[in-house]
Amino acid sequence: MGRDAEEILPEEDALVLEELARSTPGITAEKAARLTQLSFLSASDVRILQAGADSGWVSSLPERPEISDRLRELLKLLAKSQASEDPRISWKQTLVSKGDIRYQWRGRVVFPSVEVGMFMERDPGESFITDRSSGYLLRRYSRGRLILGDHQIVSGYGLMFWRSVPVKKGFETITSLARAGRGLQPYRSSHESWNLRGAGITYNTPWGEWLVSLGRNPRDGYIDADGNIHVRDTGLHTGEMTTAQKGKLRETSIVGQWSLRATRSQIGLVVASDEWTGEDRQRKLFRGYSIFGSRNGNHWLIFGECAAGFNDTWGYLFGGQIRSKTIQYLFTVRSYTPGFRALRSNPFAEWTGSERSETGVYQGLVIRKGRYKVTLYGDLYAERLLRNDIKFPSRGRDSAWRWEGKWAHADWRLQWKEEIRTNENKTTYFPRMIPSKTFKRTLKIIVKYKRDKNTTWKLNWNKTDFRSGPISATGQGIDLLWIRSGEVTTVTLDWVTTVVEGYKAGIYFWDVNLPGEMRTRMYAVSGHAPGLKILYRSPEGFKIGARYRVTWPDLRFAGNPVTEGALVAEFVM
Amino acid sequence: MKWSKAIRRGGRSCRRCLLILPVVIFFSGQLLRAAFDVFPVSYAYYGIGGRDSYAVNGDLLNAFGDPARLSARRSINGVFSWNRLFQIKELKHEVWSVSAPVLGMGIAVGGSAFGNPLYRESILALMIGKTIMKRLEIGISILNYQVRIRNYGQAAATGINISWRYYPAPDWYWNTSLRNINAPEIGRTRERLPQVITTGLGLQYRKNLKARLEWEQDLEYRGGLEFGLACEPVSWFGFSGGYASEPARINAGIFFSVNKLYIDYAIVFYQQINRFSMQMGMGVSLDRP
Repeated sequence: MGRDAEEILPEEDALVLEELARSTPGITAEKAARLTQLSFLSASDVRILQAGADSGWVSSLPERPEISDRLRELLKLLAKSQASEDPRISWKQTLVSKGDIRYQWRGRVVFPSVEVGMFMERDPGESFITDRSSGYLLRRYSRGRLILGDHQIVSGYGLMFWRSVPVKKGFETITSLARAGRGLQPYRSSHESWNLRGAGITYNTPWGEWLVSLGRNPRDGYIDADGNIHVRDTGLHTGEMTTAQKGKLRETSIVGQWSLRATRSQIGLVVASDEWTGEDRQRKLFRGYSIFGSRNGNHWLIFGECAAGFNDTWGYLFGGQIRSKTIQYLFTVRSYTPGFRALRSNPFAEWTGSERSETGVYQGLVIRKGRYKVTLYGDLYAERLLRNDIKFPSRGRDSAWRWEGKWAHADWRLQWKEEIRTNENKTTYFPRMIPSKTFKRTLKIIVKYKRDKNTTWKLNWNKTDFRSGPISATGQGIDLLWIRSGEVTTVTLDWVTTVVEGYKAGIYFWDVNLPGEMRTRMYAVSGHAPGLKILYRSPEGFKIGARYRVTWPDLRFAGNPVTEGALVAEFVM
Repeated sequence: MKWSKAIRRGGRSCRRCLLILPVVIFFSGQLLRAAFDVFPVSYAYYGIGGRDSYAVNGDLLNAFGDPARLSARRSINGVFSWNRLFQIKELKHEVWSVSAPVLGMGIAVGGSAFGNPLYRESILALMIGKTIMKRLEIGISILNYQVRIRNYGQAAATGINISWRYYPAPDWYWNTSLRNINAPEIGRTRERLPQVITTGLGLQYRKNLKARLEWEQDLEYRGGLEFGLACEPVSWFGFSGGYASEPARINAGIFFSVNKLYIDYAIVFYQQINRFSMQMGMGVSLDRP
């Protein structure tokens, strides 16, 4: 049925899935190790994959009863690959048109124990073909790995180091929140400001794995006369100011991590130092520490991380999970002091970035019975205040349920979500009143019908209600998708019609995505938006595809439509 | 007497300068938008390429920007081409290139000169192309750009172009070239040289008919589509035509070969200014298929 359009995956997941889809059918120890990098697999799936890769019984993985349905489905897809050998070279070019053109080139060359990757990008309006360029060399040893170039560290539960996309609050949180990071990885995302550029090395000993990273990372921004660091993370260099600030900040990072992984437990300690240098040689130094760990039994898991972040901030995230074949329950508690952040922190939270400051409790429950599955979650959170703050903390509550099942030869999903948040510390002019709370409710129905092996229909209906005192808005949208898969060509037609009363009642749908894309669209006005995607795959692994969408911001097709499209070409050898 | 001759000669030069200067400025503003906008390219072979192509002239001329083409050349080749932009003598463009296979790669050196005694742009290039695993051709060219303005000064810069060409099947390919990927700048004003991205598909039908569709964008401007078609009804003669949208131009060419000699002639018509350019090329190839 796919993920909810409001719960996107990190780009790294799309890249790993693409690479695995191009490889030879079947599962090997190396592929199992790659699968552990996928963020949406549960902690228990990751343990099984790791155990299989370490112990050599990985080829029998699909028959194991303890793996999740999601992993089983993924292994079935990998078994369908028609590649006769694992590719050694892959190269991909993407052109995305929306006004001006975004160009991206991504490549990878694999040798027996060495891997080289590179990425180049030119955003719309930028003046350099290689406005962003990134590369890495990965060398695997029997006792660890060395990465020269762009790399990242995914550690603990995100309080110190994580991917550029955090674990988002939603139905998938139940599986993904309890997973610890997998340590040192090459950086291949198009996000321009998250990589560490330098060298990272891991070394395994009987007393644990040691990780050291040294980075000298150019960042966009400046340090002002008061010593405040202003960082721009958009990666766009289209104007005089943005171009002048490009790479003007220098971030020097030193990271050390020790972790010990046993069959049923894991513990780790991270220390990081981060020095920022501006153009005028002003310097700012930050340090952070964190300890994380987990312990699991056959049907339970407890995990947590506690961190001292930069600027005397701190945070923690603890949780427990119980799972059986039919029930899975997750309970977590989190707390971050105002402005909590560390070198590359991106923990599970309601508020992100400099606004991060909260205490929250998240619970999720999954019940499986035959062909049916029910998922529920709830999150209570409140803003944390400093001792001398003279304001009221914002509070909120999210709750949602989802029912999925098979009925009348189709897959069904019914989903409801409610978000309530208090309006604190806002002012207005008399006689206007600020309502005490804001409500947002979303109802979704999705039906997926597989007419035959090659034809799929999918219907998605969404309704969003927004209310804040006298202000209310409603949005409704319907998305009809038709997919026809041939031996070499896949054609996708997509029609979206929305009736939306304003931005606050916006509707989210998945866009037609080319390989490697994970784009969703938010429709904030009424109108129609038909889309088309054509993808051709040659038996040798060459792919070429195009997508195109026309959006009329009017139900009567009046006015000038907005068009956008993309082309992708990719070969493997 | 000698003085009067010198004065008369100087007077003619001044008049020539007075004539050339507005022409250069006018057309620079219209279609020659920056230094080195005029780049070696073959208009006769714009629509064709591919491994079975007899377009040795085209491959060598286009190799300045798309060096991957050189990997298809199996022996010594040379080409010389003359181009007169907008039929203006002062906007003469001459290009030469010589290639040879070395160590399994196609290597070429070439040069181009554009302009007149008052203003001259020169390029000297080293181009290398190689085939990898039969289906992939890659190339790199290193160019030395020089601009000279009489009685004013000169400046130089170095640019790097890369390109690749992939054949999913023997009769069609996808290729991309990136010009000046190192973003070179020239002169004290640090004028940026054109950075151009070209990507497209080419296909061949029964060796006689070739077509190409590509997208080209100079990053300073909007991109445009280009389409070319070439037909070789007999092995020693062919003709081609094409259209580009940015700037709008139509090109048509004929090419024929006599023994190991290749001659081509093309006309390019610029719709915006209602003028055309001519290009003539003469090449020698020792690797007849």
